[in-house]
Amino acid sequence: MNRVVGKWAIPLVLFMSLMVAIRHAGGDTENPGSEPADTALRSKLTPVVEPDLAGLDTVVADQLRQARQETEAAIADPTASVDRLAAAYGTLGQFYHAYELFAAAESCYLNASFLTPQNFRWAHLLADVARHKGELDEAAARYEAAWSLQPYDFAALVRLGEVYTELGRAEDAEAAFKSALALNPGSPSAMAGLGQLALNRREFGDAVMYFQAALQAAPDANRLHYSLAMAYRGLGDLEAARRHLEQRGTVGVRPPDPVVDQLELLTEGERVHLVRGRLAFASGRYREAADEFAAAVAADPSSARALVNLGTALGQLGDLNAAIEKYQQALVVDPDQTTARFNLGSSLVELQRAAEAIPHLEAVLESTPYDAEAHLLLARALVATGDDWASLEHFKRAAELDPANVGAVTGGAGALVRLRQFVRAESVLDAGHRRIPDSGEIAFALARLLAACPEAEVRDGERALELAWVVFAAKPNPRHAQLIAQSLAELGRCEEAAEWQQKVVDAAAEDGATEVLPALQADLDQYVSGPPCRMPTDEGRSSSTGSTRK
Amino acid sequence: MECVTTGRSISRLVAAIVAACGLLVAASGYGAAPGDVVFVDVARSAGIEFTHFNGMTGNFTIAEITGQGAGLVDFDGDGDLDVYLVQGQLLGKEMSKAVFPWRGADPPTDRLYRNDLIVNRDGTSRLRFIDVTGASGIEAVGYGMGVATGDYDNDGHVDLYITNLGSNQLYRNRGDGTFEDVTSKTGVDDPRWSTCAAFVDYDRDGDLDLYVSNYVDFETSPTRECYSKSSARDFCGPDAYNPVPDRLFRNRGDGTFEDVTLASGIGKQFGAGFGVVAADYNLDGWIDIYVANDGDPNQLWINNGDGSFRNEALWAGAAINSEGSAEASMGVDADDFDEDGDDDIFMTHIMEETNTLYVNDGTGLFEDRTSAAGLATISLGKTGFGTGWFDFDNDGWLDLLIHNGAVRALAERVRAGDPYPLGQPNHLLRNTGKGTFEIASDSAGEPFQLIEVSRGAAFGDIDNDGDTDVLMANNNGPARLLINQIGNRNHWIGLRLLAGKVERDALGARVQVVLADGSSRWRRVRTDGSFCSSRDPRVLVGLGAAAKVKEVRILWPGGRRETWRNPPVDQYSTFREGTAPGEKK
Repeated sequence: MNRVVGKWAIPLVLFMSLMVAIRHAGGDTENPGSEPADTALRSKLTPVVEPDLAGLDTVVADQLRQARQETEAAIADPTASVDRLAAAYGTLGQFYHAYELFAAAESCYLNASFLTPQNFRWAHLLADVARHKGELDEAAARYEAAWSLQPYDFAALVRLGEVYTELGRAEDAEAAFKSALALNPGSPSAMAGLGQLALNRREFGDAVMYFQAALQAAPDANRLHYSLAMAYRGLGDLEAARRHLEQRGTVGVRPPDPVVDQLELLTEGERVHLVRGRLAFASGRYREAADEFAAAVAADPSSARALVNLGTALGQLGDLNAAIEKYQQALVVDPDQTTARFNLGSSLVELQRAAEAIPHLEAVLESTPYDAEAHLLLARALVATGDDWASLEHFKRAAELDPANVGAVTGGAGALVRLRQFVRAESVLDAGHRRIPDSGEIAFALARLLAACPEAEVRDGERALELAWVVFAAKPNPRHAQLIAQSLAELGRCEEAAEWQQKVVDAAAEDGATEVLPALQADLDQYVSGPPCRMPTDEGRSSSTGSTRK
Repeated sequence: MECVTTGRSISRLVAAIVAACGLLVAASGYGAAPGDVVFVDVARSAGIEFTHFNGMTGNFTIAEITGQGAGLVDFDGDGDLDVYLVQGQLLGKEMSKAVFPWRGADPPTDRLYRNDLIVNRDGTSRLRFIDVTGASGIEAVGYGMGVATGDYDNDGHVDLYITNLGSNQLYRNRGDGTFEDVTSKTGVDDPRWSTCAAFVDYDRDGDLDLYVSNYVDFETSPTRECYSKSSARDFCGPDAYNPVPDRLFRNRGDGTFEDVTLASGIGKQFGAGFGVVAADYNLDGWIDIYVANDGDPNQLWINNGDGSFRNEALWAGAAINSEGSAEASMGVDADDFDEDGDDDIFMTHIMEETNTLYVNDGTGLFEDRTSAAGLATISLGKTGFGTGWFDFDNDGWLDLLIHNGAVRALAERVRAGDPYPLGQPNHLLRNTGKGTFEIASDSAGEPFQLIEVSRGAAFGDIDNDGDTDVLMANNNGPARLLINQIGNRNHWIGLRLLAGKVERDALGARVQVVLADGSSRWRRVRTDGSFCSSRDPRVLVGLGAAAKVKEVRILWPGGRRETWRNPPVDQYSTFREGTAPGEKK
């Protein structure tokens, strides 16, 4: 569909095409519906609810007004056939429905359904409206009607099964899902529905079977892993349960529903696309989100928020340069857009363009001085530009504002180490470790400092070893083994240090990490050479007994 | 055992209310003649004239539709429940711009109403509340969200913790009718947006610790704009903001608290926190903490017994619904609705989702049984907040109250010309005793026909007549005091449990009431649950037709077990730890 002239080209074309499609769906020209709708018939119609258009996006409000005018014109035409009148009401209902103006949509569909009761689509759409309103009995009745009118209405069957499930009508639900499967064998949404029913009935074996079948048909539907995990838990297979729990996500399954899905084509306006984009983004569907945000930008090129969101979605898709371009465009529109500035700074840091990022992050902090993330990001940008001194203040502030932030602790300590402020670094890490005792990163950094600090005063071999054991036990790997070796060396336990370091060297050789091997081997040689074997301090002093802080 | 003289016939109370309020109320049991009234709102006639001010200025600020809770607390220790009501503030700079003007003579603040329950010689009684805020020394002028109650300093006087959008306040009860603000002294402030809180002795050291649920980082962007799918400006949901961690404060026992949020592991995982309810979900003797998060997976903090917690919600099946979706959890309560000896969880959600019933299998693992229990259908189309398990008809089975009120404009309310178009009716659901629930709202009285934006619900026997009443907090509306008129068709037993040697309610204690036929009712002492509200710490157990209780078995928070035989029924009795017959004094 091409946009030809003016902003109304799409809605009008759509309106006309919907009218044509609906007319065809209603039957051929020989049916009784082709007769003009007489006064008696018209008098039985439901007044159409008029939604409050105040406050809607101007584009949306104008679109709805125009759709209503079109419908009213059809209604006013005394020669309008029953089919045409039904199509007019139904089309207006679809516009309202597309914007979730359910009461207005419902009143239109009721008329359409009254005029052409043989048309399954009105029953289907009425069911969808009822489902959204939480009127499950009504929804069930409408889906049943749609299915009876159109036995191939697969979506109606699956939705019917879902509604029955919520109504506690398990047997009816099962029959609906199985009928859906007969139409569409292997359908993941029908399988998932049957799985849910089995789970509710505590028939865990069946639930596993259905959820697995659904996942096989729709491997991206990672939300099913949770239901599957619960089914396995019920069966007592805890290992499988935990495995699937780890794979759970936010993507579910739903039946393809062309009658409802086409409503999205009717929506217009920046706000609508923003809302849809945010929903897609929140579900991790970044490509879809980017498309929606791009549509929002197209609807309103001066929308800074649409540009920021588009940039964010593009960033999630890995295109940081495109994201930066959008953030910059947003800032041209609205220089006070803090989110745009933060995201711009973040993207620039990620692209190792820290110097460019700094002024943006400083501007963010001017307007929101309590933003811990912005402080941390600025600190990292300053570190990247070599300004460790300036970074300290921001690492500190980030830790104050977000005491659970591990990066603020390790980042700040790292800067202090580079500045050779070892005592202060130890103090920062020690406080961080006390505050967040289960952070492996902090424990590791503290242990390393205590084991191998260039300043002898900071060293504490016993505590370093204690921490190193904890870190290694939590995650045994060569890096943590090296930490044990360093700590043992600090305590003068050179033979043991050499044994641990040998393991590290062997692991590095096995992994082909040739670039680090010389340094690791040098440490090993030092340990092997016997006491004193600790890492040398600045003072060049070494002790055969190691050090323990008093 | 100490027996108190607060048990009396409901028919007498009804007479008293008729006299006091001019309300024509018939004593009735549930299922009595059609048209009988179960609950009557007596707030105004009893002296509570409180209207919540949400401070909205037309900017669709999320905070203005979120609050607020309410508390039932016997602050003066005279044996009847007093009322604490949480107030909002202007969310803007000019009072003249408030959409719903503040009509009070003084600026809006939280209010404390003293219950001067009058008991006549003939046993009839009359409820009368006196606003004692000024004399109490309470100056709660923050944008209020909720209230938690507990005697943190073990001095026998219950204290108040007020949660706010902004700094919170801990008020120490001096025991002479006045309070002092000890927030700074005790170290329990949290300057973020706190919502609900709970006093809980998680480390079993004999003093109450404090869990504070926090919502989102509102301060950094209070004016964020959000839209509905129709493109109309609407209130933002929590997903428009970043959630902030909850807090756990450990009571040092010296009048101060230590922030152990990170050390305990609580700070590791968090969402937009609302309701919180503590119970020993896995029955290992250590009290756990369940937190309802709005739009994020809920947390079930299992107590490791060493001062730390681990979040087991996902594995336990209580983080998200059975279809794997996180829901907009608001209020929450836990109790043993199926009488199998463990605590089950009920939670309220937004209108597009069903409320959720998580049934405990006795080991701390849960199953989502919402649909099977018949709780799905009724909740769709309503946004639930305050909720609680309570046996409104004293038949022995815990029923449910659900306070509703939308968080987005409802088209039908807009069309009806409602200037605050979020109102929805509340629900009373009766437990059939067969694992299912049926709607009881229709015959529950006028309060259940009202269309209001209800939030917090506090439960307790306000008139000491042996049935559970409800304090209702309405956002941008009047507080209501729903007095239960169910009648004395069923027997009951009321218990007050005091911990150790102090005059403190033994929050966390578990009670097993054993009937002559061997069946049991399990309850626990608590003030938490619902939505940012605080309830009666006394345990009121409906006995149905049973006129006798064989035993009351108590598992105290510290692990001691005691049994009392043949306790009196249809009255309240006090049980003090370490005083059961046969116990060494």
